[in-house]
Amino acid sequence: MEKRDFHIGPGAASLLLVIVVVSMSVLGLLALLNVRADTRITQRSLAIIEAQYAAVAQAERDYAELDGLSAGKETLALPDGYAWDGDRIVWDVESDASVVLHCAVSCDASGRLTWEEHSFVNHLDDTFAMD
Amino acid sequence: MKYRTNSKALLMEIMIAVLFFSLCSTVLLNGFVTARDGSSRNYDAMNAMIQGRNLAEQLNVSAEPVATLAQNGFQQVDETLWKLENDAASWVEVRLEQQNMTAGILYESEITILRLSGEAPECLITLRSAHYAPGEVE
Repeated sequence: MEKRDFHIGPGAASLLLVIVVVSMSVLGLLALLNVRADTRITQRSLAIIEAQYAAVAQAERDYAELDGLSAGKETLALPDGYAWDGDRIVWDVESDASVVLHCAVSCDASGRLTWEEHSFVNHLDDTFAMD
Repeated sequence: MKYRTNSKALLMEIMIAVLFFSLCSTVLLNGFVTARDGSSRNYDAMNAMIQGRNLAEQLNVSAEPVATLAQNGFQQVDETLWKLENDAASWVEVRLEQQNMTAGILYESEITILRLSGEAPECLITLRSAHYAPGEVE
């Protein structure tokens, strides 16, 4: 049996180099694309959370003002933006990023208000739509 | 003689390959580091979001927001500003204001989580929250 010698011929190193560089390039590209997508989702989540908290804070301010207006009064003239819905007062709060918070409070005999409803509606509009 | 010529060619090829690989590695390594930095920034932002929301919810249900901040380890910086250092490069600032309304007290807070990005502080998230405590009306 003839013994065959192992030789690294010219071109083998270059071939190996090309394979390694292409593999590293693909991995690097995938890592960058992944991070870019993650960053977009993170920024979008942060924007939604900030908008939601801003809307809730505004609703609480509205509630405080409304409670001050109605306390101890038998009849209440509602400011603009508020409406009666049966024995409840309802209004919507819109924050910067098109988050809409639907609010409702009930009014007792002494004119004091209590939270009845506090819900987000239709906050996935064009601002946060997936491209 | 032929063997020596082949060896020289192979040596030359390997040297060129190593040089080219070094150049490519420099560029590719930059990409990997950028990806790692971005990933770290996203991780910090998500942690900031969780920390900010937890704090906002605690303040919203607390009857004594100042005591809640003190319990969480915040230090008072001035009349309305409180600060908590997470670590050397990240801290939380809470601006807490109390407003006397006609029929109760309105507690308003602005929670900001910052981290050092180079020399300048970078704001990761700002959450505003308010809590109204109805009081007695004469």
